[in-house]
Amino acid sequence: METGDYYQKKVCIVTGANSGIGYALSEELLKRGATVYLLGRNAAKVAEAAGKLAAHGDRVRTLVADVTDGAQMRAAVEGAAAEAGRLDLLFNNAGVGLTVPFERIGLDEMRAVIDANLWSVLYGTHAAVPIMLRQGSGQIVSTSSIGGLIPVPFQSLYNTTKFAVTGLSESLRYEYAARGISFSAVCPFFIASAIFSKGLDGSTGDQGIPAGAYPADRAAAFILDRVAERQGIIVVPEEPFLGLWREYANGDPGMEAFMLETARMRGQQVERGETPTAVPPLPP
Amino acid sequence: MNNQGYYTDRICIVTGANSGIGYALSEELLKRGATVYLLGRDPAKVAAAAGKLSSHGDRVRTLVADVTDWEQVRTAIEGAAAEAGRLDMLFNNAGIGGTLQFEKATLEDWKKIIETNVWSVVYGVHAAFPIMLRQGSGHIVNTSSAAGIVPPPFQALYSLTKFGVTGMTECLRYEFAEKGLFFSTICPTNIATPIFQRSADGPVNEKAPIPDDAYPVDRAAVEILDAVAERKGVIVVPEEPGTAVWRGWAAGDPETEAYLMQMAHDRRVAYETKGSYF
Repeated sequence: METGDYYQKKVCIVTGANSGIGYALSEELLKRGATVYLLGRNAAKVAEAAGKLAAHGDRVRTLVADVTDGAQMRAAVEGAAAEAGRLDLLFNNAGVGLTVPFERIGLDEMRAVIDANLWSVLYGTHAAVPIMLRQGSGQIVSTSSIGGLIPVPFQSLYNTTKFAVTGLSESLRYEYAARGISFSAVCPFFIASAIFSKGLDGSTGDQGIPAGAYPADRAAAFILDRVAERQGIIVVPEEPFLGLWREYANGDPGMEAFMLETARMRGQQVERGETPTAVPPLPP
Repeated sequence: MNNQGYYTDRICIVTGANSGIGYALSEELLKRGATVYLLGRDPAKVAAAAGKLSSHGDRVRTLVADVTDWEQVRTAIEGAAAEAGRLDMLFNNAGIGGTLQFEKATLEDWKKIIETNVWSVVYGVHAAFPIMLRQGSGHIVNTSSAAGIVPPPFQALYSLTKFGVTGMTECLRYEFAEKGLFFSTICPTNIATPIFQRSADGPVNEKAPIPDDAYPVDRAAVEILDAVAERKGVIVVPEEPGTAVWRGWAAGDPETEAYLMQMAHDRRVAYETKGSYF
């Protein structure tokens, strides 16, 4: 569809904008004419990302904040809205992955995942909604995951946070529909991004991006097309995963067998000392 | 269905057992022959609940613990398992409601509902699964909600926590399927319980009415335990219309979309005209 003008002059904040889907969304928003505040925790990395996008001139802005800190997030979101005079779109994108057997996750690690993936979205949304209500318009786009729709084994804590983000975003989509604020939950699978090698502390390892991952720039273009249509749940790539979610909700026996096979294969990977990321052939 | 023997001599812990679904599950488990540890935060209320069930003799036990405190949860669960010699079933049932306008919720409200509805379940699972793994068997039953599979407007806080519980529990069901551990997610709609009097944004209000059209809690407990005995994953109680709405929402069905939009409209009008949905 033609949504080329939709983002012209829109004021946007993207969290986790240094890399991955956040960087790709920022770049695509800039290409479509938006003003983008790149938000990240590490000042040097935010500056570096902004530097790579310098061709877009003063439409590229930066914000340094830790998304797991409510006061920092409030200051960043309110500060950007005050400077730009408005806030049209907030992309709650920052997050961490965790694919590991449940019995190996300590309580501190659990808290870190919930802070990074759940509280970050709450802090951003809580700061942005009052601004958007005053404007009578706005959009909040939160990055969930396929793991926020389908319960992927060996990602229990990640799934907990991502299901929670899906529920929050969709509940608010209905709640605010009559008041001009739209909500979208982006549910990506296997996008070529740094999430595969990023530790909870923001450090990056050398695990690399798996072969066959979906290109982040293509994902970003697709996501922004759907956001412009104000779609609630945005699955990317859409097929086969949208269909799999529906089969899961329908209690489809083929899907149940697929999930149990996923668990079995991943259990074997754990026993071999590998990261449990196997995906069996998709159900017919 | 005939699964009356399934619960005989099982060692069970039920959190939030003083009232509501927790009390009804405890009573039905006792009727079916289980030993039940009633767990709650308030010793007097736990004792009162146990007193009402005293005809079941020494199969009624009590545990006092705050489900939002890891050390207390661990001590209670490990203590019960040590005393009884095993732990067959844990019902992570304790929780509070949160039906309010998003913009009225403070970050403190959010913290309270996430601690009570999400961390309580994480703590319970974290304490119980090593015991069950050692046994090679066990069943953990977490109380989510219909709002944990369908996102109702004006319940963003509650829905966030319950979606989290659904995602975690279903994930663990697959993950531990080969290890002899079972997981079930209970998704009740509108059951006649005091949850309507316990909201994240205020103190307990025992005068708040329980809706007239709510489903009887003892009937819900029977249906839940029948489904748990079948080792079902997601258990919607009553099964309809919750299941149909879930599937309709996932399918992007226009009628379901219109139903949820109408719910949003009705609830908004209720807040704007009388200040409360219930």
